[in-house]
Amino acid sequence: MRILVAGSLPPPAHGHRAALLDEVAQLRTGGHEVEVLSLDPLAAAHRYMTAPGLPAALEVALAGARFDSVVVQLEPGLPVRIGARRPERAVALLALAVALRRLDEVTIRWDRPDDLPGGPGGRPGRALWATARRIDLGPAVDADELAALLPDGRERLRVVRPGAATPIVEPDVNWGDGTGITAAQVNEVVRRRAAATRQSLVQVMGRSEGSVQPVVRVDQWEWLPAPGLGVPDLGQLVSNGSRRPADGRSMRQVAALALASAERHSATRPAARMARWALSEVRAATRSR
Amino acid sequence: MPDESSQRQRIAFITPRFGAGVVGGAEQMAGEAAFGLARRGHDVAVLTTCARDHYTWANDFPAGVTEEGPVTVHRFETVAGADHLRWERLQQRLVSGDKLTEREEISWVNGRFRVPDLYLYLAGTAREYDALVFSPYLSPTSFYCAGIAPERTIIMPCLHDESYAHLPSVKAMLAGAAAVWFLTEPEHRLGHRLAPLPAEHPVIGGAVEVPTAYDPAGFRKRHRLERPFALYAGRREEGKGWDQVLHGFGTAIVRHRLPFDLVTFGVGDPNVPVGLESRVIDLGYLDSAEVPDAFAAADCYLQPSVNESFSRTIMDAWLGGTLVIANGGSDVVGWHCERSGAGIVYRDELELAECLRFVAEAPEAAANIAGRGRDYVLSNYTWPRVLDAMESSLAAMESSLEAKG
Repeated sequence: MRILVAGSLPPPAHGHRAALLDEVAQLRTGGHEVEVLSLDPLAAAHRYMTAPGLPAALEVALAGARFDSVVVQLEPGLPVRIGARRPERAVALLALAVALRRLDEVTIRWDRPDDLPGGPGGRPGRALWATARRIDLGPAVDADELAALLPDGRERLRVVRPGAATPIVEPDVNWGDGTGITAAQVNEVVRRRAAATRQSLVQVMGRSEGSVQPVVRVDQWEWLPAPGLGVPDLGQLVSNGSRRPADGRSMRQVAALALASAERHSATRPAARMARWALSEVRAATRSR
Repeated sequence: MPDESSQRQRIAFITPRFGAGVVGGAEQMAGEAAFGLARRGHDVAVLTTCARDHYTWANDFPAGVTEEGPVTVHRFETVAGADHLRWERLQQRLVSGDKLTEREEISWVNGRFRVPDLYLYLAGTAREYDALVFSPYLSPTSFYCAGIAPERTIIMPCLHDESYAHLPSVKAMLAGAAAVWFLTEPEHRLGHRLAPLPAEHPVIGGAVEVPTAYDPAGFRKRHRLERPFALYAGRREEGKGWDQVLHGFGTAIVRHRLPFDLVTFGVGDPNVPVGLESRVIDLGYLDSAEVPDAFAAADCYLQPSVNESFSRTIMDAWLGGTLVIANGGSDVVGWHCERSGAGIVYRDELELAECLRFVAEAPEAAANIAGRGRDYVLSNYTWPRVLDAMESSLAAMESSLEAKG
């Protein structure tokens, strides 16, 4: 399945980012083709949203139409910005709800209460929750509060483990107490695991054939984790090649600022929206080529 | 004293470097073999250069003759090549697989450094020795001097399958010698692929000294190594796979959140990338007394080099009870790992990462696997066995020389 994941991955690896990364890793392990659309221009991602709030909701709508399934990680700016007043919050939530309603398979993730300024309630909130087939909640979120808002109660709710505490790849071999294990058996496990990783890299990188040698860019190591913690491969891999976030980032930011500025004035707003739509179409067309 | 199969012989080991501070498996092997045969009663000399550093070939030791225990050491000054740029160009062509003309090949051999006094010395005295043992093959000291007295020349080439090994000069050197000594069966097979070999070409094996005791805890304490670590020892250079280790290790600890540091000692600039410094610990050149403790203290030993003809360091690791994680691209190291059942092999960075992950997940299993390595080394690669094989070959050569009159 082709899945769009909207939200920010590490780095830095904490909070909803680590949780989302777990989700992405699991999807990839399951053989799905995952594309990440991130709000944070420094996070590992295939593509970046141009601005938080309403524009982010619209971009999810536009991008999501090309996927079989969409996972949306609620976070500040997606769709509700920190400090947003009620009208802005309502518009952002409704926009995202409208956007997701058009899509078939939607999962909404809400990892921590702070990730959704203003909380889950109200008509815009309920409209958003209604779009999701599944709602994944972090343990810090009050599931009862949310269940009370939903007509089907807890049916679609699932509390997931905190990402930072979950190994990205669970040990899939029971080594026991270590006796009786041969080097040949270990070699076999090494080959199998590496092959699985290689396969997932092929999917992430969008390559259909040939061997993939994961080249870790040295500057990625500035995010080197303390022993026992870490940033797994996706962050580095999506940063390589033509989809590197560093490429053209400043241009994109300048364009985003210009568009945001234009949208603040009624006279230039239609043109700005047209430009934004055109840009997203160009990006989509470029990507599909 | 020499055993019944071999009488007292006068033997010269010709090796480009010898002595304290020299890092290089072939040189070490030649030096230790010289001492071993001398202790068995043979009259042994080491003919070498004044260089310690294989990057600069500067004359660090004084030229002349010294007695080092039972061995007489003759040192000859190196002379640097005049046209380094030309040498670099030829080197690049060789590495890229380009064929050199005969003159270019000689120019390359002679272009980095020469040892003219060694050549002249051997030209005058070669026939005073019963055997001249040249090692390794890739050195002007072997290329030039092996042709002086081929009837008593033994090449201990320490071959690995690299572009230099396919040079016509190497083929001529191997084919023209009276004997070739190989360290392992894969090296022997490579030798057959490279040249028609003389009748006398035994696999004599390699050997390492077996430490009497280890102090891993003391080593960790002395060097403040608080986290588990993977070890790399030797020359920190691309040709030995150091860059690959850095890359693979960085990938592994990021991908699998591994707890390891990478501890290294040896020569060459480790050139640790920015951001990885906190996880790579360079101990520089370690005193030889500390080396066994380093191997025993490690959680695993990384052998990324494909250019191995024997690999002493993996033997040291196994003796210390440490798991070897080796590059399967090396026929020799892969062969050791398969025969011993004490090492695991990788073929790319992903597999290297998985090997390290295994050590983190199952340290007991890793230790159990490594435990088989010590028996393997003790059964196959000790000096008495190697010296027996050398003496047997020397005796065969002597008989052959006598038969020819």
